[in-house]
Formats: sequence, structure tokens, C-alpha cells
Amino acid sequence: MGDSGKAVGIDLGTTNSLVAYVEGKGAKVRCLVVDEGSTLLPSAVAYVDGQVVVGRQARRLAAEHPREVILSAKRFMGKSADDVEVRRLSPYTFAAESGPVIRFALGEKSVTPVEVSAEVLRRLRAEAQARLGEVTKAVITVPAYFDDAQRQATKDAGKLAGLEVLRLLNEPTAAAIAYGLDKKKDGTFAVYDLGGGTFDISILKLEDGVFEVKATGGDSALGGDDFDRALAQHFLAQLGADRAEPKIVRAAIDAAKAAKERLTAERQIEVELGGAKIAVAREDLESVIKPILERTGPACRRALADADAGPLDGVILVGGQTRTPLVRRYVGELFRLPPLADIDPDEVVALGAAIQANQLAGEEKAHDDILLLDVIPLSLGVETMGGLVEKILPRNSTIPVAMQQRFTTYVDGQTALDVHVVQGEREFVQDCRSLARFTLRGIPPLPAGLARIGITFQVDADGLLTVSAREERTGVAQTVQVKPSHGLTDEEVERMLLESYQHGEEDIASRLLMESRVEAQRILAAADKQIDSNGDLLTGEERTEIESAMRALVEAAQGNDHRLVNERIAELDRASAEFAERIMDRGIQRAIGGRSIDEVSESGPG
Amino acid sequence: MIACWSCHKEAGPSPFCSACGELQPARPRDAFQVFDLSPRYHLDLAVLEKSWRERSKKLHPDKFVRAGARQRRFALEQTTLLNQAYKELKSPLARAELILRSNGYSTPTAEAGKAGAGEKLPLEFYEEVMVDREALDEAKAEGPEAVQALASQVLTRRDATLAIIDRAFADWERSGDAAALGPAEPELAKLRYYARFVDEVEGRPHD
Repeated sequence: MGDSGKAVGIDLGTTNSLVAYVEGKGAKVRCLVVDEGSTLLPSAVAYVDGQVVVGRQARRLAAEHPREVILSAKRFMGKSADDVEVRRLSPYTFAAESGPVIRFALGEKSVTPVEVSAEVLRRLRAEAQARLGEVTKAVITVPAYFDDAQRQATKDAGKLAGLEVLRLLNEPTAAAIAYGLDKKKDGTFAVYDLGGGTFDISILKLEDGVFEVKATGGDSALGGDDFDRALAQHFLAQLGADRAEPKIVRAAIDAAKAAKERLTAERQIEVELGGAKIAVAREDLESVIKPILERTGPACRRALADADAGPLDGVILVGGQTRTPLVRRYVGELFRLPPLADIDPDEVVALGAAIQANQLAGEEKAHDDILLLDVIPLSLGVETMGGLVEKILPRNSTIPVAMQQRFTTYVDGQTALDVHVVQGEREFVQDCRSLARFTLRGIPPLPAGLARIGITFQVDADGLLTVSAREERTGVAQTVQVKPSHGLTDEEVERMLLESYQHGEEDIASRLLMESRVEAQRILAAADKQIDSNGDLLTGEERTEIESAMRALVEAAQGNDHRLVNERIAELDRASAEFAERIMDRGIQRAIGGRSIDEVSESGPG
Repeated sequence: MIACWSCHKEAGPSPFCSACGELQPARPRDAFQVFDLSPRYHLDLAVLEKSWRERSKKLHPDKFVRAGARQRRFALEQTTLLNQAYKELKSPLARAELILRSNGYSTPTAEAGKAGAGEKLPLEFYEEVMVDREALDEAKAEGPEAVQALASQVLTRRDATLAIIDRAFADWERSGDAAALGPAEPELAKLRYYARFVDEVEGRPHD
């Protein structure tokens, strides 16, 4: 390749962005100084007086030009005007003629979040070029939960900034790469990433050059900004300002942020606010932020349970908020391990991205044996009777993956089956996200329960889902492609996970009852019909026994005890087992017409 | 013989043609065959995992980004088959069922409309299940410690079941006689029940 342009790693963050590079044969990786002596470039872009300004200078203009300074374009990447994020309270005005992509209105003109992000990337590229020469390629990191639209938008921003995006890398994976390769150490790691506005937890296993994502989770509305607001509230309460003016609130939040940072090193400080002096001890900060911090616990425990990966070898801290001593203590207690923090938590993601960029650009062959194995973030399933979800692929399955599940018909002579594909953790269809619907037609008319329909889910390495249904006797088949992540926001993913967690028990109880009732109805209807049409196969005594078991089941199904229903179903099953076998034999004989029994014997009774 | 799509010589059983080394389409193979293992219940999971990683590194679609569309499709098929086989062999229950099936035993497959009642459990075990159900309700009313105590009680019984399964498979591995697997069959049904029960105790939806 005659292309001499260098490849860098970029952490395009909500609050700050960084660029890193692997230099020389010793493969020393470092972040470049990009803004006023710092490696952190605030992801702020100001469109003021016909000029575009990026970084700290832009941030300083924010108070005066709230509408023209975009502080967190990342939150709007890949969003449409209908998205919640867009309707949330913010200083920005969105252009009316937005269409599918939102635009920030800046007086006479407007810009898209992609264009704003491209300005940040352009600045990082320029700073890198000033030190390294021509830079043309990059690995850019994205949150693990970013969907297709958000990933595509990030790629577009790179392109706009003149960069070939070699790969979009998940942030926790990048952090793990930074640690894994720096120390050449295999093991299972948790990546605890607490940023300004988001929290992410990932469990990764590193071994023999394979980075395997075991589980992910998080909360996209939880971060250091919440610490600042809580501490600001504490200040305002001390001042007795219960209905403070916006200006004072702003000042209190700024003071809180500064106080939080100073209290990382100091134990006791004094803050000036509204002409008054407030004494703040580290303990004050800790008691204020502790309840917020503890909200990260459930997601961590769930990810650990999902990963089922045995003891952890380390916890990696990512994000500036993990500098706070209480956060480190809390993480240490939560995982019963002292967290790893020898790499700067602000820089670790960019450093990992640089290592990956270096490998993909082929500048260094030393570590090219790396493979990243990703998982699906939410379970995939189909709707079954009674609005229930039958999960086919559980969340956190390694991709690519495929799974087949057998279904059958519920009604005699049924020739079509509706397949409704859903995504989510809840037990009922209405609580999950609907991905696709299609109908499998041409099922041969058979007695209920005899058709054998296989539904296959295939998710490829890019996370794209294909669902196909096939009636196995006739080979009648139907296939549909869906994008599981399309349009699903992080908030939706989290809300769905959170709700499944909160409603888990209640769901299970009602699911069990619903299931048992559906089953009872199915069995009763079948038994009724079979006695009608195949009653000649029964002795009088057998018939009485079955009918009394049916009455007992009807009674149980009217109650609320699913165990009793199941018990009675089992009793009816036992009472009619012999009968069912005789009917099945007869049914198969009729269904196959002239074919020999041997041809279908392998499929056995459904 | 199965001919290689590229060189048309005998491709052999491996994912790569034994003659020219080109990646082959995935052919239906059981989980043990995918890993070139003779069927065994007693597997070293660490060795299995290592083998899975090594195979992933060779077969994963990411390793074929610059190859043709055909090879990329085969890489997807092969890696899907590999991940499926790995999932199956990792689970003692799935592994045991696979061995029973290939030795002529019938094990229930995943069917729609299952309500847990269709399972063919030994009768006295059915009573044990009912007692557990009632105990769970009482424990739930009593509090988390009681639920936990019940769960560990059930786990102890599960371990006893696992021990019986373990012995039956060890006998089979020694003798190669399919009849040795007989005692394992009803125990597997119990094992499925224990798994569901523990899931329910821990508030996880069973699947």
C-alpha cells in the first residue's frame, strides 16, 4: 500500500475527546496534547461570528451563546426528531425542516450532529498531524450499546473529517485492549466506565489473543453530572436558597464540579458561592453522591451473573468520575477486588483504540493475532399463544449464532402460522420491542399438534438477524431479514433490561398461570374433539376416567394456582396417554395417506 | 467423498480443504465432530474453551474481511456451527442429552406449548416436586434467607443426581455399552427440573 498516512485511535466522547498514537518499534502508546496543554479536548463546538471554534475556547463561549455552542453532540448522533433525547430539556433549538436527521438551528444556518462531531474529529486530526505528519486513518470508539444508526453516524463524521474509519471499536473493549496488551496478561475483567453522563459495565475475557465480551449493561442517564447536581443542591440548601435563580443554580453546579475534583486529593476545602463561604469535607461529598453511585450496583451484579465467568482477575476503571476516591472504594467492595487504575481513566479508551488502529493499519505485526468476539445485548424470541414470548436466543449469546425452535399448530387443519419476532427480556409481547412479522403459509392441513415447524434465528457477525420458518414435512419455507438494533436507543435497551429486572417475579407468576391455562385449554379442546371423533378407540371405563380428569382440570383452570392446573394437566395426560397414542397412530396414518410408516417414523409423536 | 468447491479434490472432514486449504461450507456435524472429539461426557472444559478460541481465530468472519463473498459466507456458517457446538458441549445437560440421543435414547426436544407438565418424571419424583413447590411458597413468605436455604437444599439434591449421571457416563465411557446409559435417562429429567426450579427461585425467567 503506497498510502503513507498514519493511523490513530480516537475516543469521541460525550464530554471530552482524545487522540492516541503508537510510536516507534517499542510500540509505546500515548495520548497527544491537543488543547491548552491537555490531552482532553472538550467535545464543544461553537459557531459564533461565522467562525467555528472547538474545545475549551468553545466551552467558555457557552454561557454567552447557549444556542450556538453545542456541548454534547454525541447524545444526538443517529437520532431523529421523534427521539426522547431531542425532546428533553436542552438549550438547543432544532431546525423545523429536520426530516429524518435532526439539525441544530444556529440563526440563519443549521448543522447536524454528524457535522458537529466532524469538527471535533477535524481538530484532533489537525493536532495529530502537527506532530506526526499526514494522518488519514482512525479507529473510533463508540459505547457498547450504540445501535446501527448511531454507529453509522459516527462513521460518517469520520469521513467528513477526512479520516478512513478502519473500525468502530466498543469503548470497554478498547479499555481492555489497553490493559491486556500493556501487561500481556490473560484473565476475566470487568470494565466499570463512569463518565459525565453515562454508566457502562462490561465483563470481558481475554485469553490467547481473543477478547470475548461475556456481558454488557449500564445506564445511559447516570454519571458524574448527577454528582455535580446533587452537591450543588447541598450547597444551595446550606445557603437557604430554596428557589434559586437559574444563574445561581449554574454557579452552584460549576462550584460543585470544581469542589468534587479538588476533593479527590484534598480532604477539606472551602467553596465560594453567591458571596458566601461554604466549608466542604470529603465526607460531605461522599454522603451526597453515595446513593447515586449505588445505582450502578444492580447492573454490575446482573452483568456478572450473565457472564457466569468465574472469579474476576481485575476491574478496569474508565471515565473521569472513577478518580473520585469513594467511587474506587465502592467498586473495590462491589467486586471484592482493588480496581486497576494505573492507566489514566480518561485516556485508557483512546490508548486501546490506538493499539487497534496500529494493528489494522498493518504498521506493526506484533499483535495481529487478536480477535474480538461480541454478543447480542438483548434476547430474541417469538410470540406464542396468549401473548407470551418464547425466547430463542438469550441475551449475551456470542455472535455469530443460530438457534432453532420447534413449533406446532394449535387448530385442526391450520395451514398458516403467524410469526412475530420480538426483542427484550420481558415475558409478555407487549413489553418487548417488535422487530418483524411474517406468515408461514402452505402448511399441510393436519390434526392440531402434528405439523412440525422449525423457526431458525441467525445473527451474523455484524449483529444482523435473519429469521426463517420451515414446515419440516413439506419443506414449505419463509425467510425475513431484520435489524435487531435498528432504531433501538440505549435508553430503550436499558429501560427494557431494568423493567425485566423489576418485574421479573411478577412476570413469572402470571406467565406460569397464563401458560398453564393455555395448555389446559389446548388439552381440553383436543380431548373433547378426540372423544367425539375417536371415541370408538376407548373402553367405557377409560372414557369415564378421562372425562372425570377433564372436569377436574376445568375447575383448576378457573382458579389462580398454576401448579394445580399443571398437576391436573398431568393427571389428564396420564389418564389419556394410551388414548393419545392410539389417536396419533390413526392421525399419522390418515395424514400420510399412501406413504409408508418408515418414511416418517423418525419424526415420532410430536 | 465430499469435493472441495475450489480444487475439486477430496476436501476431508475439517473446515479447510485437506488438499488446497480453502475454507469449506459448514456441513451438518454433531457438536463432538465439530471439535474433533470422540463423544465423552467427561470433558476438560478448559481444553474445550481453548480449542473453541483457537478455532474461532481461524474461522471467524473478521478473519475473512478481505476474502470473497463465498468465503465470508462459509466463515459465517462455520463460526455459527462452532458457537452452537461450544454452547452444547459446555452444558453438562446438553452434552449428556446429545450422547443419549446418538445412542438411541429419546430425550425431549424443545417444543412449543411445553408447560413443564409433559415431562416424563418418575412418579415419586413428581411428589418431590410438589413438596418443593409448597416449600418455595412458604419460604417466599418467610423471607430471602428461607428461599436461599431451600435453593441450597435443592442444589444438594441436584448434585446427587449429577453424581448418578456421572457414574452412568463413566461406565459407558469405560465399556462403550449403550445400555450403561440407562440409569442416566430419568436422572436427566430431574436435572432439567432442578435447573428450572433454581432459575425460578433466583427470579430468572426460565427458557
